[in-house]
Amino acid sequence: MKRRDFLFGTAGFVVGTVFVFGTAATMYQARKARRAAAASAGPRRVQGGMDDWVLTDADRSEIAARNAMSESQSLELLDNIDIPGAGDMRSERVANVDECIASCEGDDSCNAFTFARMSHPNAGKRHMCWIKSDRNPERLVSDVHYISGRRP
Amino acid sequence: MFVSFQEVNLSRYDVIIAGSGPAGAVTAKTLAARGKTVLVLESGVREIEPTIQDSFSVVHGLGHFDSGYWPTHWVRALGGTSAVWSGWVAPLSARNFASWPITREDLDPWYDIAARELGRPELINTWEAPSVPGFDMRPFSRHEPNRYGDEAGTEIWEHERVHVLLNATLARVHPRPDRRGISAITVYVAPDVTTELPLSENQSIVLAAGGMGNAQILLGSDDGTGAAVGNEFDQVGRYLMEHPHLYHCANMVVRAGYGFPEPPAGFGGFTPALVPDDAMFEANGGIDASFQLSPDDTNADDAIERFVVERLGGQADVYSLSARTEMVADPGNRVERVFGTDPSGLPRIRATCVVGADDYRSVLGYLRRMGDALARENLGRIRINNDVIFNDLTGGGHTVGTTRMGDNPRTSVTDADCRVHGYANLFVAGSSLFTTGGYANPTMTIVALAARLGDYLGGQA
Repeated sequence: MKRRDFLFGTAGFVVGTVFVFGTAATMYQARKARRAAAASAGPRRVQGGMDDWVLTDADRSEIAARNAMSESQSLELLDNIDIPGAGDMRSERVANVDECIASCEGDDSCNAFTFARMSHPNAGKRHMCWIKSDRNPERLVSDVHYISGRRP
Repeated sequence: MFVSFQEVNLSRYDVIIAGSGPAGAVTAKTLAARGKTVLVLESGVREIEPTIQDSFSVVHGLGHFDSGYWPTHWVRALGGTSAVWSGWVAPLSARNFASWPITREDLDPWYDIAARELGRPELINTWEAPSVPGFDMRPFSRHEPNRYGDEAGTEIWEHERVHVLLNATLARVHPRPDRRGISAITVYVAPDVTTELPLSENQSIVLAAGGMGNAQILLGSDDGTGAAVGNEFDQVGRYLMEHPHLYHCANMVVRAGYGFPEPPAGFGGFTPALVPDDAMFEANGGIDASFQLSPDDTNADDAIERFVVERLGGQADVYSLSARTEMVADPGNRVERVFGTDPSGLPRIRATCVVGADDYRSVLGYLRRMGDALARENLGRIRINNDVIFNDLTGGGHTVGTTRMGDNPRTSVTDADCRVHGYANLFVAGSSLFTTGGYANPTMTIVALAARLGDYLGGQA
């Protein structure tokens, strides 16, 4: 029996041809590769939220400033509120909440928006801006990771 | 040369070695070069036979490493576990020897011999360069592994003074009545020979049967007249260690072009890794670790990562960090005998190995300290991937510490000469000798200690 057969046989799963520096990989290395692939795929690696970053106090102050409640002439702003659904027309990544407010204010068909703060545990949603068409959306969900707004 | 059981006349050998992996092979090679004649007992044959493997290498694994884990790193074939070695090499650091009965300096001459044996430049034993504040670049040497069942072993096994008996297992060592030496050994030769062979006082035994096997042979050498051989103070099998491997345990974002020191060309193949300097090591609690750097992609979807890049001047390089870490030597992590035997009559064993709270906290500590050091000078930032550290731990296939060295027989099994305390002609080779594990892959140190043992026994009358 060839060593490679032994290792891959014992491994109990199909490895195909995994080679490390020209030599047959061990079961362990194949498992490593699978773990490595699992670890680097998808959002799992960033589920821990903002506090997984080792940041400076200055970083955190700056993030807080960019995520602070803002003001609008034409929209009623709702701090710590998510408006789910409500006729999502588009979503865009923005630098701060003011960009999201401006995007809604400048669009006559926009009647509401939701902005996700940097503190959002899902990295993919951080600083996303959802532009919504529903007028007077009724479903408001308390969530500290969001700022929303609607036309009065 | 390969011999059959009928050809073996035990009285002609200076040294009998159990096991033909890197430890046994290098011990045999060194002894032969010094004019000694050795007999090497190997449970397996030239290729891995699943029946032999599965009936001999059985470990009930409890803790972080299960029953499927340990046997894969305890290969029963000519060349032993070098058959599945991936060729990573690094020496232990001077600080790792703090609780050993020998120092790094003591072992240095044999580390250089080990480097040559494994086809590496001696430079790999010493090269390091400061990098991230508090951490040095200390790369792992990467090279084709020596497989002692293949070409790397050919010269050794064909040597006229090295006799290799395949299908043969050292099943027991018998203590002299005064327990100051071994007076006989029991050898099992598959399929049906079990024989007790007397030894004279000037013949030595070297256990080179792997971290599991060395403990197993001692624990099984229990003739009812007292404790098992070497286990007078209940130390055999204790301090079992692995090297916890945490792949992608963090990401490092650094200023574009920050750069890391690279070893000179003479270093050969390498994998870059950051290792705490001595001050950082002490400050973080004295448990060692290395952090491999792998280039990674920027996650532009993450507003925090984009923010971090902005803070670093708008351009950044991203690395994934993979940790290889030390486990504290804990007597509660141990190999014990359980009911039943393998075909040779050796007791079945259970390995309890739990990575401890201090071991885990040490990794978190290093990552936070590395992150703080980078952030303080605005060189970079680190994101710790907590779920990987606590849900995805695996090992390196390293079985370390079960017959550890020490000056005190109450807290160790072997002395500075690799001799089982009190037994004049019983010695151990392999990673079971390690008093502490450091972060380094053990093969380099296994080979260095084996060459040193060979020189010691070869110099004896």
